[in-house]
Amino acid sequence: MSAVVSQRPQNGVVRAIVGTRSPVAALAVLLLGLVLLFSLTTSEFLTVQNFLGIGSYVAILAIISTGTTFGVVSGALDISVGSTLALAGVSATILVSNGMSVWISVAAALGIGLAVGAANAVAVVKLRVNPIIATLGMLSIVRGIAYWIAGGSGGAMSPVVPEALTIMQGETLGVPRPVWVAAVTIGVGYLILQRTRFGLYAYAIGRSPEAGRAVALPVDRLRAMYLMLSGLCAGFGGWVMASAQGGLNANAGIGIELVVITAIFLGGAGITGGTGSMTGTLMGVLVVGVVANGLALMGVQAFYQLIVTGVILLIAVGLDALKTGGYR
Amino acid sequence: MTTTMLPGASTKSVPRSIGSRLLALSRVPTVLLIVALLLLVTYFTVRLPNFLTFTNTMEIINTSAVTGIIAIGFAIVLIGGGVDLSVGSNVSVGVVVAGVLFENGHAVWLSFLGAIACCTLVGVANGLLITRMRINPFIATIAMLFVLQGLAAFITGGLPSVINSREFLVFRDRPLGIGLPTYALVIVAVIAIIVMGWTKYGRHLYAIGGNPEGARQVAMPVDRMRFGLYTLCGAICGVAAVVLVSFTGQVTPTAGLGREFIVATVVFLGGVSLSGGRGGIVGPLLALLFVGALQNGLVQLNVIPEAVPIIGGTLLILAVAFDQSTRGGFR
Repeated sequence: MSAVVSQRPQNGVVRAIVGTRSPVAALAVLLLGLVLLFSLTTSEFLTVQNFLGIGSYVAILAIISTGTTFGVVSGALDISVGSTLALAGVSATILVSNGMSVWISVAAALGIGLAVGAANAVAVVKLRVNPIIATLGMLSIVRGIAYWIAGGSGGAMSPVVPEALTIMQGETLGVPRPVWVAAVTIGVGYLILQRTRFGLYAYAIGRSPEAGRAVALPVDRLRAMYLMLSGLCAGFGGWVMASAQGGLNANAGIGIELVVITAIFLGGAGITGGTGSMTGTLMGVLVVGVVANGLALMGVQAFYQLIVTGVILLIAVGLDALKTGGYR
Repeated sequence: MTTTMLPGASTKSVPRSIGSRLLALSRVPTVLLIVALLLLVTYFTVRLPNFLTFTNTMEIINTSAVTGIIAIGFAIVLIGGGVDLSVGSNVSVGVVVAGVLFENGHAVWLSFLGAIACCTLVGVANGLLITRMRINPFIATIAMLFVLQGLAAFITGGLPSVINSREFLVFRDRPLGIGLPTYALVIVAVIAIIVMGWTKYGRHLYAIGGNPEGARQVAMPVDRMRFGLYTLCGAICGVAAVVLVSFTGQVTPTAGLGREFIVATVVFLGGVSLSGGRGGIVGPLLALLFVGALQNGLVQLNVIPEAVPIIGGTLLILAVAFDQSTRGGFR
């Protein structure tokens, strides 16, 4: 991380946490601390079964976050991912229920993800709408479409889903299959974001789109591609979720975009773009997953988890604001 | 656009007429909105015999009243250059606080006051996060959204309830045939229009919204005003919460859930800009009528409910696209 001179006075502790270490290292420390905390307070935390449970939820979160990281780094937040997940998952479920092969359902889910990403791209790049608002509108539109094809609000799906779709259930080599898929996805995402020029451009555009244009980067086209990646991963995540759960109804993924954003910002990304990393996102996803799981095991009710997630987000962004001088 | 004139400041020293003030503050999109509204009303009146009746019109306004009050708070924050995405959850908190206070035996007025006080405190918290900890308003209020949802659930202990007591359900009264929520909306709207259009405070809000750096350079207390802005929005949400719970009687933590979306749609349709410093109160009110009439008409025409979020989302994107088109937009 480049050294950013902060204009705010910092005491020693703050500087130790924020100043010299990368956010990834700080998150790793936090993660270890959380694991320690939860293993001490609940007996079931450190069991294999529990880790398998965390694994599936975290896996889907990781898949979605991979794509959205590209968007955030390039300065375009995508909050429509939850609806995209639902639409893709519902479509996959319907296709397989009607006798289509699993591969077609995968293709459909990916295609839907790409399509939503493309629609977002049109709104942001052509209509020049602020990405947060554009994806907010898309969130609503796609959710409506999901309800519609699921046959009415509530989207109660037929409980009979053919074996074929449930390919993601169960484990391979003792690890839940979604985890393998997520590992590959986030690995590929890491390579693209941090080892290719395409990924580098995301940082450039995030930091200064004007500078990017000045050196003849096709900023609009790149932005469109990052948004399409975000949609693609959300669609894929939707398929994996549908497969892991044996079918998805149209209410799936409501609110998951906020968890995704929390994870990505925890990982060091800032709202203005240009910062963040795939490893950071991975750590953020793990922290959020562990916190949710640990709290659930402690018998903490759902609303506390919401409060804790919100507070974590505030702390993460607050620390970032301390470092960079914050919002003015 | 970086002149030494602060946007929103009058370029003339002669007193301006009421009409020109209103129009100047509401900008051009309002004209299109009026046209769209007229077209919509015409269409529905032709298709539905009951549409343009007094009862139906009052019905539309009454059911939109709560959203309208929230929208006014949201719009004021936007004009001042900020954004508050926690408004829906704030209203949820207000609803459950009022309900729980009353259910625990407190007087109605105390329950209402307690709710408004709580929501104002939330606004204070938002203000502190943004002006002291310097957290970006989007993120700060999204995080608060989380926290408030959890808080609302916590206050009710997870169990929604219904209040049936006549003295609590004040806002179900219909003096002169017009629902009390409508009166509340009108009062809040009139106050807001006067403050934004005629007071020094309102003008300064336009200034810090349109050009915060410039405002700082002329020694405006930008941070202090921003802090007040979020506090005010919180208070307005408190009022909306009281109207809501007193009308429906439902004490549930999901009362305000998802309202941010329709509020944002209404406000952006109404010509208020995301970048701050532009827009007024009249625009969002017209947009509120438009959206309310649209929803009312669609329901009566038996249009499938799934079409509503699709239409809403499309409207939002188009509205902002249009607003941004004259200024270059997001790059």
